[in-house]
Amino acid sequence: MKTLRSRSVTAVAAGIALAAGGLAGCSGPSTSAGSSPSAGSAASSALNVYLYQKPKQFSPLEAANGPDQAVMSLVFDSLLGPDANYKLQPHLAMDQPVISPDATTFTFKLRPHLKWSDGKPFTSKDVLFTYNLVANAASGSASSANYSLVQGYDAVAAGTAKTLSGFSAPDDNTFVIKTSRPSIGLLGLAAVVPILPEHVLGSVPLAALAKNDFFNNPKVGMGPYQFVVYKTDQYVELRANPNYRSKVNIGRIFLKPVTSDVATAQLGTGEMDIAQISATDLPTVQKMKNMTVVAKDAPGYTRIALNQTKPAFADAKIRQAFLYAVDRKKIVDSVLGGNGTVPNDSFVGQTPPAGLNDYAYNPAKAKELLREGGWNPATTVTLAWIPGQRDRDTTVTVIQSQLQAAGVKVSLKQVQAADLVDSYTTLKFDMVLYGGGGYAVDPWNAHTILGCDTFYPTGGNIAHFCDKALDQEMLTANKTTDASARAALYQKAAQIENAQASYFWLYNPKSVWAHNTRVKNFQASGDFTNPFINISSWTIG
Amino acid sequence: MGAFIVRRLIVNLGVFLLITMGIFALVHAAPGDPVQMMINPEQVAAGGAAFVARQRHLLGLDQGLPVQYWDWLRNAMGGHLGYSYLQDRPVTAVIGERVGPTAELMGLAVVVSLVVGIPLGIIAAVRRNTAVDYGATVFSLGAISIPPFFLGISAIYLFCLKWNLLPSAGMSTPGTSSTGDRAAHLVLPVLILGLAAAGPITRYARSGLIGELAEDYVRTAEAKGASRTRVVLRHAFRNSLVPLITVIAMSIPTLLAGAVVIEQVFAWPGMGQLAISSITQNDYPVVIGFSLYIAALVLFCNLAADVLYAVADPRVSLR
Repeated sequence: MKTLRSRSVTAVAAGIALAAGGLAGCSGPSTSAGSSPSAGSAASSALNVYLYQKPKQFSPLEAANGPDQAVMSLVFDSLLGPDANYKLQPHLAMDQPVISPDATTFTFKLRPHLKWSDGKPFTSKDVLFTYNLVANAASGSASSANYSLVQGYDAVAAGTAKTLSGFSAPDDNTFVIKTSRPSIGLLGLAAVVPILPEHVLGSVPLAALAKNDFFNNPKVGMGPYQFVVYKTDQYVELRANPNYRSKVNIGRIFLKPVTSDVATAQLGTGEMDIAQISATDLPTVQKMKNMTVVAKDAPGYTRIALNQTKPAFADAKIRQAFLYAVDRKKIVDSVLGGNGTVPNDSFVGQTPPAGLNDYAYNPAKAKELLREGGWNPATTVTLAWIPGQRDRDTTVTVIQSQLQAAGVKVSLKQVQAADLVDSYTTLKFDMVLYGGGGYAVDPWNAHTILGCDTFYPTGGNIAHFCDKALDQEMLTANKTTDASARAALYQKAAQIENAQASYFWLYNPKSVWAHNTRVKNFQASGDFTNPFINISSWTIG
Repeated sequence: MGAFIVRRLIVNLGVFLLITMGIFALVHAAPGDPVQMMINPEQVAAGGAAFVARQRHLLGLDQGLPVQYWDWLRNAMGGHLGYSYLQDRPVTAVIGERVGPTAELMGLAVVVSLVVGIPLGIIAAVRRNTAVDYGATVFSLGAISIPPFFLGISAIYLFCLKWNLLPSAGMSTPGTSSTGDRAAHLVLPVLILGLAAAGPITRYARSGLIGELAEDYVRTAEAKGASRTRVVLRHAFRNSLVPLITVIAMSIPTLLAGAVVIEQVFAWPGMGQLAISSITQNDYPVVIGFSLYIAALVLFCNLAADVLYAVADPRVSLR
């Protein structure tokens, strides 16, 4: 039997050996593929890209989740896709769809002779299969109601039909959508759906589809890259798809879900090639060698929703007063370092109409409107937000102080996402600061936050804002096929919304990207869930 | 001892069952609906209401809490902890992927804490009130007081950004599978966790040994001609092991708590990150699975400590 002394000596020796082994591996950041600018040809074919959150599942059926969409944008492809200016461009479709004059029929011609990454031919059968899936709640689709206007939707929802009669594929290269009511806005929602392989998933029972392992390992797609593996919480590895519709220059991509602090640090060490950075990290990144910084307007914006079921906020004068009370331009300049713009309506990406009220900082005007609106100075309102983003954490304190100066008492309340969603349902919130949204592709997308019939939980109108004239203008625009006439109608809608101060618009932050100078032709995307808008043009050199 | 272990396992099972009930009730009492959390409020119009209702039914969330608990318990007894709401994968798979990285991190950290803490505590006790003792005291107090996240961020700044000696995050460089690369990624998080845990071990080893060295039997052993080393290691240190075993046994679940912070700082794909993401996103099955993992670990460490008491000190009888 060993003595305590010899056991202790053995344990100590083993520990020292382990520690020595660990320290022996202390060789600095690895120079394997993709992590060092000075490595050889292996490094020139791999890229490390920042993913802002851990992905969950790669399924178009699931509720939209940014990191999942970022991966899917590389693995899958869609009929149309937004470019850097949020204009829909043909991807799998050969051209823009032909829209009937009454805006109820959308005909897509597909690019011929395309192949899936496994070599099987791509046809309209895949498109038909995909759209019937996403439009059917029984498949587990979280976005089925996007297609409620498509003919046959009600029958499928009721369970009396398996497919929508409004989706058809008259030949291998044609896909047609027919709606029961005109809706140009359907394109912005529907034409960007990632297309799934019918030859892989077609035989899976509908009820079991959502849980199919394909959506954890999507090995077959039409995108520029093929999925290799997701090392949980570490990285997603992708390799170039040899069957993609155009040449891809970079052999491998590693998407790394790390925090923004880690990503910024890794830009400096060479472990990361491309990362979205916050405005507060900009000075640090700009000092790094071999780094280029580019920025682009985001498709959404940061705002405060004022609960308009409460009498205090139902009056437009009060909402206008709040806008005048806060120096939003200064917030953009100081908090975002100038990387943003101040919106005065929700139609992001559209040319603002002439004569829009810019609600420039004017505390005197704010006090006057508060008086006219009958604001009770003894009232304290709560401003809730989810902490963690530095620009928002700083902005709330600025807002509190400037509203206080105008005579509005504000108490700040940090909440978690669960509390916030609860408060939307119970309507117990006063003011909520949040951001995001994607309104730039089609102005109709803003209807979900503005419509009288889209109050949460039916829609995304958390503030319960309602203006019948605005609704009417947007509905008319959505039926109008002529592009310039539609644009004019949306401009009128913007004027109505601006006058009503639907939301406490704060800022449209630019998405700021930093990339290693070895990455050529990188084009900044305002949508941080889709940074790969021109990935076919990227090279490493 | 065998009978003792069996009795304790039976008691632990009862405690474990009570813990499952408590955790189940607490998790479901937390604010927020896990299904509503799955869908961005602005996408609710896209089918959210129907999606939410369907998902709640599929996940059994429209049942009463006792029914949900019974269904869960039945499945758990068969080794099935349900499906992650977020990932649609078995909880056992979700947790299983992360146990390895956490075990690797914690295991090496425990070794470092013992290798550093025990010898340092012994030396400090034997050389009481000398420079070595003072140094050990400063080290142990610093290890206890300085938050691991601060050490982690400072270490990243110095070793990674400034001196470019070590990688800053992750378990390995993507696309690489070399042992050296894995070891390089381990150095900082293991040292930080291990040295933080070594602090209390040093203190307890020192104070326990000082107490024993003052006993009469030590003077007797020395008078009989035993060497100082033999007296310290074979007699005095062994008698001071009981409180030290307690500290070491309890440091393992504590290390796991510390690992949560270090895993975030170093982007280590372990249980800590899983805990944070599942809690903030109301992924009930994973939260429950993770909590049970911790509960099982604590119960096991307690049992191991009790058994080791009897091994270390024959006067302790296990009943």
